[in-house]
This record gives sequence, structure tokens and C-alpha cells, in this order.
Amino acid sequence: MKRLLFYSLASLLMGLCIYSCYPDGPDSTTDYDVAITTYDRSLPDTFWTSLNTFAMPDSIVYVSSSSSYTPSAVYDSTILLYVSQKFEDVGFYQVSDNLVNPDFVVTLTMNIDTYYNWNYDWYDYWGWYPGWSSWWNFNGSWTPYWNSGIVYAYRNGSLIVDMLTPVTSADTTALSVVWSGIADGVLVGSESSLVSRTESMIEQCFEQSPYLTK
Amino acid sequence: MKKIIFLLAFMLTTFMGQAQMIGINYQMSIPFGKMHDYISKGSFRGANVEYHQFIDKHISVGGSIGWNVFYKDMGRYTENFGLSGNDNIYTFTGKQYRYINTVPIMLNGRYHLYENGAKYQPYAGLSVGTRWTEYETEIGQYTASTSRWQFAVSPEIGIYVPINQIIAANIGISYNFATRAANGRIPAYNTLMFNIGVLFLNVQN
Repeated sequence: MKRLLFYSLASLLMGLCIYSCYPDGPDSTTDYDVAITTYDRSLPDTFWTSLNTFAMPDSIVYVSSSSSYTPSAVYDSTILLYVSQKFEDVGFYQVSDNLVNPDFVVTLTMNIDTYYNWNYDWYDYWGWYPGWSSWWNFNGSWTPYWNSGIVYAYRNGSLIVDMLTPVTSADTTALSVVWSGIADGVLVGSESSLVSRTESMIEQCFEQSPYLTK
Repeated sequence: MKKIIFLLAFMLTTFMGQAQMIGINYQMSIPFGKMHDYISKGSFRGANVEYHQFIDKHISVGGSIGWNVFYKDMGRYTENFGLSGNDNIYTFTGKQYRYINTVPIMLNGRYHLYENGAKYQPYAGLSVGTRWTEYETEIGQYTASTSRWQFAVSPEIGIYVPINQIIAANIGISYNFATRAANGRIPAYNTLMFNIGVLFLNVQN
């Protein structure tokens, strides 16, 4: 009986020891920052170099079903400027008037949620973008799409930068999301730290997309 | 099932008169092959509990259960992933952490060079069984994880030195192999493992 007790205690101690030396994971907020990109791999390399002009709405759309947190307008304007600058750095030209149809449109969407399954049905909210319909004479019958349905599991804050181009063929007119850059992280900290973290993730999105070139 | 239980009970009662050993070992592992490609660092987090029943003066049969953890902080790292729900390929850059957890459950046979009572006791053995292995990659708040049961084989050699009637110090080395699973998402298990532990003896001379 004594021996059994001894064995039990020894096993328990060993268990505790193993548990206590289990390896660590992330330990600061920035350790959770992730830059994610995806693009339409069916497009030829020449597609990207054929693009010249882009347009961008002057606001970030916030999508949130549970959180009321939104960064201030300063965050929006800083990030919008930064993103347009990044596209111009590649060699694209931003067009701001509606006289020219741009080759692509850049949209910025901030999704704030703990858990959120999302597919691109949210483009039903297109009306949110001011002046949207003037690009490509958008008439409401065009629907943006990815090649396949898309389901994200986002948590906390994700700033999604999408590149959309019109696709016209015999039987379809649609807007295609050809590139997405996502700055994903935990929405805590001061606004200035949030701005710099978002910027460095966007920077990384461009860095890991070498096909975005002129 | 009843037959197996009966057989085991029969074996136990038959061999109860023989010597038994229970051991606890600390384990360190060096990964090879595709395991090494995933986590190149050795594991210093491992342990097992083993039981041996002598059925002969030189031969024991028994079993063991263990736990080994491999871990590597990849730092800022870029890798492609698929997300469930669509066919797109996503490039993720962020702080990446990789883990392998494995729980081997093995049946063991050992040949002991000398009879009980020797000052030191070299042995050679073979374990056959299964191991549950989980590969887990963490990036930010995303986790990619796959786990499967693998068929496992481990030959071993070692030596134990009785300190007194009850306790012996054990040191051994084993090569551990397990088959690939999940179409290679769990690659073949390949490690060289060092065992340092204590054996509790129940020897009736």
C-alpha cells in the first residue's frame, strides 16, 4: 500500500513537472499581428503589369456585429493615405475624378469581431461606398465574386484591402476580387501604435506580393 | 474481449511470482527526416511510465505510455496555407510557433543479459504499438492542427544499475519510428531518444 502511494505521488509530481515546462506561445499583443495575402492564381503574370489606374473610396467600411469599438477618423485618414501611397509606390496612378474608368478599385474594410464567419455576400452593402456607381457605370447588376465562395474566420480586428477589377465576358459582367491584403491583429493599445502596426502589416502584404509590379 | 481479459489475468497471476519493474523516465529526443524539417530543435520535454513483468529469468514483457513535446519558435515567418471553406491559397506572415505532441502507447519485450541480482543489468528490447501525434502551427490567432494515430516501432538498448533492493537507475537509448499518416500531413516519426530514469523493483530472489 505504501508503495502504491509512493508511485501515485511520483506520477503526480512528474505530471506537474511536464505541465509546468510546456512551451510558451505568444506573449505580447504584437506577437499576434499577421499579414495575410491571397490573389487570383488563374490570372497570367501580364495581368498585373497591364493595370495602370485605380480609384479608392475616401472611407473605411466598418463591419461589426457585436463590437461598438471603432478607431477615430484620424486612423481612417492615415491608413487610407498609406494604402493609396503603397499602390502608387508600385507604379499605379490614383484617379480621383469620375472622368476615367479606373483599371481597378481598392476598398478598405475593417472587420471587428471576436468570431465571424464571413463570405463575400457582404458586398450587398455596396451602397456604403459614396460615388461607387459612377465607376465603370456600375448599374447594380454586377456582382463581385471570388472564384469560389470564401469563408473567413476572423477574430478581433482585420483590415482588408481588396483589389477589384471588372470582368466582362459574353454572359457575365462582374467585379472580381483579384487581390486581398489583410492586416490581422488584436485591437488593443494606443491609436498611434494601432496605426503603426497596421502600416507595417500592410507593408508586409505588399512585400509578400512580388507579382504586384509595373 | 472477455477472452483477452481472462488471458491477461491468467498471465498476471501466473507470473505474479516472478519479478516486476515499474519505471519512470525523463526523455530527450532528436528528430530526423521530415520531423526535423518541421521542427529542427531537439525535445527536452518528455517522459514515460513503463511496466515490465518477467516471464523468464532473462525475458520481460510489459508496456509503456509516454508524452513528448517538440517546440520551435520560428520567429517572423512566411508560409502558405489553405483555409477551410475555400480553395484559395493564403500567404501568412507573422510570428509562428510550431509544436509536435506525441503520446506513444507501446507493448514491450526485453531481453536482460544477466539474471536478477546482478550488479548492473544491460538489456535490449523492442516496443510495438501506436502513438497519437499532433502537429500544430500557430500564427497570430490562427492555428493549423492535424492529429493522427501512427503505427509505431521502437528498438532500444540500455542498462540499469540497482542501487538497493527496490530502486535502480536506468539509462537507455531508443530509435523511434512510426508510419506517416493523413497523406503525409503527419510525416513518418523518426527520433533518437535518450532515457534517464528510475526503476522500482519487485524482485523475489
